[in-house]
Parts: sequence; structure tokens; C-alpha cells
Amino acid sequence: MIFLVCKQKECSNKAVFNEKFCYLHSKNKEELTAEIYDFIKKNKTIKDMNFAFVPFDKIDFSGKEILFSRFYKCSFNNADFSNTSLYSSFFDFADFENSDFTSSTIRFAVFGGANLKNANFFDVNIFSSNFIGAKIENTKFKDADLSYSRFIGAEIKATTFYNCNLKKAYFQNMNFDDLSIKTSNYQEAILKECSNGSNKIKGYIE
Amino acid sequence: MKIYTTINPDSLSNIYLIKSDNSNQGVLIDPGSFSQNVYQTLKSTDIEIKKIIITHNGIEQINGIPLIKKIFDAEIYSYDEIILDYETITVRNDSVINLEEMEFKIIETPVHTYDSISILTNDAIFIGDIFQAGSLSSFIEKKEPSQYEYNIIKNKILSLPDSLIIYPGQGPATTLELERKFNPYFINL
Repeated sequence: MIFLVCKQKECSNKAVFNEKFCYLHSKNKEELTAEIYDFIKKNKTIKDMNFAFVPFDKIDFSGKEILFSRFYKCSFNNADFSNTSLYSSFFDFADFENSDFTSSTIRFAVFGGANLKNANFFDVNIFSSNFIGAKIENTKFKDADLSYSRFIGAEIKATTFYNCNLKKAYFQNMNFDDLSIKTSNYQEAILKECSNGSNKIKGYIE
Repeated sequence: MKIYTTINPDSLSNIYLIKSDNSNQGVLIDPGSFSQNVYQTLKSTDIEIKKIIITHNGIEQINGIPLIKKIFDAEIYSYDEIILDYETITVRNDSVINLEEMEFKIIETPVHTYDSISILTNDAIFIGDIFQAGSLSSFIEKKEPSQYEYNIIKNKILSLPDSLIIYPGQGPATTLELERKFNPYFINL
């Protein structure tokens, strides 16, 4: 991923899509946004693209393959990621409200600092992905493979981990306020200073 | 430039393949094994490995070299003069490795081991085992860096731009902004 720097003086953001400016400094946001949505709609594979700051609310990404792309501080409220393949892409500090990731495959992706609210991760395969510092609320992980992913410093609220593979998934300083984690192999997770209600829970490493 | 990540199945350490946009030539960072998944990544990306860069002389970083050298006529770059039985092209601070349009700048970062280097390229840095996303180099052994080592991380890595993507030797990728904000060991640095 190499993106050009925005042409706007003193702006260090990267140029968006095929533009010379970042999204924040683009001259005609409305036209550019429409062009980006059209691109997403017409292409099954999205590769090597920078979409930082672009709103993708209600956009359908289902069945798409997203590789080597950057979605820094994008919003994906009500976006559909079902059956999507995400590889080595960055969604840091993005907003996901009511986003659906059912049956998606997520490998080496970064969701650090993201806000996930009312999101569904059913039957997903998430491998070695980064959720550090993410705020995760009312989100459901069910039949999800979260192995080797990291949730260090994440804030988790009313979120369920039902029948998940947590092998070497790394949680730190977290309170799981739902009993669902007991249905997952939490004993194989790395749980540092984590609790379930008032009880401390032990993983592979405390 | 495309950066592909694959995993050494024995140690679960990351192996990075970086392919030029101009040709099928590429660089391999820390080939700790030459297992089926490494072979498949090489095959599917059709990369011709021209250079191997070693972040430090550890088994998890070098074990795949003999097989790779049998297939590709690749030069080895390392802080150490000899890796296994191979003579290397030694690198030090500010050494630059070029291949096609790609440029890799070496930063000496002796944190995890005395010979640890980081590799800076465009918007990304490969840091070997000096730390991991949200953690130190080894959260299992609970070894905390000394103040000297913390200073190296602070002055040589954390001083780089926020948007820089960090590819560690173990675990998922991260960014400098995420590490500054959420890595519990760096928040107060």
C-alpha cells in the first residue's frame, strides 16, 4: 500500500481513491462520493485503495474481496459485509453500527480503535486481526474463529462470544459481562486481568 | 508495492513477502520456514525473491533460508555477517536496500536482541520482535524492556508519523497511532 500524500498544503493525509487530495480536502465531495460508490458497486475486488474518511453507510460490500486497502475513520453504519473477504486491510478508528459480517473471512485486518455497535459476526473466520482499543458494544460473535486476534485495551459492553474459537486470542483488562464466553474455549485464550462479572477468569495465560 | 503476510506454522511468526509493482521481483523478510503456506504464497503471487532481509538472527527468522536459497538466487541482508552458513550483506543504521521502485531503509533497534533492525519503507515499517500490536516483544515470558530499550522504541519508532503501518514479527499488523494510544507499555512514554 503506497498512497500519495494529499496535495493540500500542510495536509499529511493520503490522497483518496484516484484523486490528488484526501477526502477531507476533495473539491467536490458529492461527486467523488458518488464515483466511489459506483466503483464499489461495479467491482468485486477492491485492491490497493485509500478510502480514508469516506462515509460508507448502507453500502453493500457483500461477496466482495477487499485487499491492501485503507479505510481509516470511515463510517460503515448499516453496511453489509456478509460473505466478504478482507485481507490485509485497515479499518482503524472506523465506525461500524448495525454492520453485518456474517460468513466473512477476515485475515490480517486492523480494526484497532474502531467503534463496533450492534454488529454481527456470525460464522466468521477472523485470523490474526487487530482490535486493540476498539469499543465494542451490543455486538454478537457467534461460531466465530477469533484465533490469534488481539483485543488489548478494547472496551467491551453487552457483547457475546458464543461458541467461538479463542485460541491465542489476546484479551487484556476486560470484563465480559455476559456468560457466553463460557461456551467458547476461553481456556485457550490469553486473558490478562479479565473477569466475568465479579469472577476472575483464567485463560492460557493469566 | 504489495505486502503479503504468511505465517511460519511452527512458531507462528510472520513472514513478509513484498512484491514490486513494476515486476515480479520481491523481497522476503524473516523466512522462518519454507512450509506449504510459504510455498503457496510464493506460487500464487509469482514472486521472484531477489533479496532476503533478516530483522535478527533467530531460528524463527532464518530457518527457511536454505530451501529458499536453493530456489532463488537471493542476497541476504542482515546486521550479522554470517547467517547460518551464508555470508550476508551487512547493514547498519541508514543503510538503504533498493529493488525496482522499492527502497528499504535500515534502522538499528537493538531491543529484543543486540542485532535487531527495523526496516522502513514508504508507509510501513517491519520491526521484527521489538514489540507487537498492543504488547511487548514477548508477552509470554513477561520480559519488559530496559529504560535503554524503551528509549530506542520511543526515539526511533514512536517518533515516526502516526499513519505508519507497523508489521511486527508476531501477531497482527498495527499502526503507530494505535500503539501510541492503546499499547499499555507506551501510553506514558
